[in-house]
Amino acid sequence: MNILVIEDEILIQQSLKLLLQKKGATVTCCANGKNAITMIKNQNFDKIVCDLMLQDISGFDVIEESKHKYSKEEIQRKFIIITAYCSEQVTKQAQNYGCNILKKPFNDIQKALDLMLLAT
Amino acid sequence: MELINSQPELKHGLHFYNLSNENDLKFNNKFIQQNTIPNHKVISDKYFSFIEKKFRKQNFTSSILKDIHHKFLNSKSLDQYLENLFKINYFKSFKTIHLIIHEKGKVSANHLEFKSYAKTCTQKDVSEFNKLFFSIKKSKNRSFGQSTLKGLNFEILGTIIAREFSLPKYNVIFLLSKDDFLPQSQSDIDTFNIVTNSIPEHLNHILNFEYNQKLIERIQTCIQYGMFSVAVSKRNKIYYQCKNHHNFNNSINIQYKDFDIVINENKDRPFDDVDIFHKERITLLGDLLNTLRHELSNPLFGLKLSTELMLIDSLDNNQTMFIQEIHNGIVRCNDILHSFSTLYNHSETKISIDIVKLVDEVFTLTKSATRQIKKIVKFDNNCEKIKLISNETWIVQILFNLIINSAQELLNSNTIKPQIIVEISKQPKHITLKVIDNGPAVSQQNIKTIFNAFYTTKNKGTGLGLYISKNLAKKLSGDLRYINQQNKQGAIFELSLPLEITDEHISY
Repeated sequence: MNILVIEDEILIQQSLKLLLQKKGATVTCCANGKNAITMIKNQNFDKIVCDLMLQDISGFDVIEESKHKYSKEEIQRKFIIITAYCSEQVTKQAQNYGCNILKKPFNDIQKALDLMLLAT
Repeated sequence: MELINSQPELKHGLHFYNLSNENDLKFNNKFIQQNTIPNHKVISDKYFSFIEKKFRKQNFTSSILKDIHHKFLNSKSLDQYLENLFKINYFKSFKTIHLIIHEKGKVSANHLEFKSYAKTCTQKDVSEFNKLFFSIKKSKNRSFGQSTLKGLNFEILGTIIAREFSLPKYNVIFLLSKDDFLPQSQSDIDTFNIVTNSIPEHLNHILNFEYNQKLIERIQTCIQYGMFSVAVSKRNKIYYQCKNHHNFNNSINIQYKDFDIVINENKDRPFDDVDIFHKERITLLGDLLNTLRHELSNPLFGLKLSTELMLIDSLDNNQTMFIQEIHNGIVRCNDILHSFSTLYNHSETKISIDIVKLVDEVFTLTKSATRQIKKIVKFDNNCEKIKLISNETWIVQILFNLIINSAQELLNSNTIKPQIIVEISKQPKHITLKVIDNGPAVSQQNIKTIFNAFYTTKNKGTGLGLYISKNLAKKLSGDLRYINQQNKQGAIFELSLPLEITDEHISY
């Protein structure tokens, strides 16, 4: 299972990486949106865990750019949005794309990891 | 405080327009009804002359126009005007009247939808409003189909006939729909044009009137709680006078038309600048806490995840213990942030609340004020399973206020073995929470006034705590009251809340 974690808070990024690796996944990390877009273009990922508040662009922009490569259905399956800001607007936008959205901090870390490792 | 003796120019100060009941269309140029302000009804000369001009300009032998104008004169509000329009035959042939009003400068527009049996009001974004407004303006035809509405968030069915008006303070779209997809004929459009000629003036008048009403209400509140007390009289007859108005030597005297206005410093004003700043500080604090919470939660989450990872890998018992303590500390930080954020949350959502847990949370929040005080939570067995569906923030606010009040009274009066008990009990359709302390009771003469705004016995109190709490309780369809135990020691405040509030209950 090939997972891309896009998160600019290093502790969260690295902890998620280790936790997912322990469960057998191959994890690549990325801290900003622009690099993430390049990575998505050049490599194939089974799952993409994407934070919304990135330093340069928004997580939704990353999803938009991935539309060049993935179909709408694939985006729905592959992307998991994680965010600390869960306003109505954000949930609406996420619903438009149809992807799962996880609120930080995770109440149940095991459930969150299971969602990320769910084979599509 | 220095009062400046000058003659400021009051522009539209005292013209309160009222849409009075004119059964016959006779005009009396100097028609004034004398009353005390703010019910002062004045129909100015200007308004009469404009109506006369309108009559002469348009073909008023047309009964429709007479009818529309008549309905306008019989309406006291926008809702009434539109309801009245539906009674006219021309409008009866349509299913819905849409009125979309944008106050210039605001970020949203009001969309009123009138059917003969119901009305709805929704908010629309100003950019959507503007798109529709300009597409209607650009078109020379009055009839539009669904293509005009494509991509916009208006839920309007069928072909529509529409007109846009640009009033001084507002932009308005007036739309009629039969809720079918048949095209409008040219004669339909011509009639529509004639019929809607007087509508912009009507709307302008009503909207300005409602705007002025709101302004008057705000001015009244300012005067009531403000730094000045005002008295308005005309030829020695008093029109309006603040309750605590006195005549002082250094007052401002203004003459406007036939009115004499006296403005004084309100020496009985029950609060001072400190309280205003305090209120502002609290709002700022709320926003700051929200930002802080978001900024802190991310790094805290990172810390929590990494300690959890370290715990998995840790082999040394000592190390494990330390890492566990770090983890516990982080969890505590998160809980504290969460508790504070619910306290200052501006959202008005209803959720399912575990009332016992909520009371515990409030006790944690008030820890610093209640350190030396014994705190007890009492509840019957069936209360543990209660899930109250209500607004958590407001309940927390009310309990917080009551507990802080009790704590302050207990400490100020040096009560021996001070204690605060929160007693939760379940009734068939509601629950009651009693905050009981063993400090001094509220004195008999104060009982009637403790829930009043700006009433306080403390030197630095705002006097708003109980007033706000009682209002919040009412908003939740419940009540907050003080239980008078006559001469017994101790104070009991009882908050009662219905077990479930539906949308009909919440009133704003």
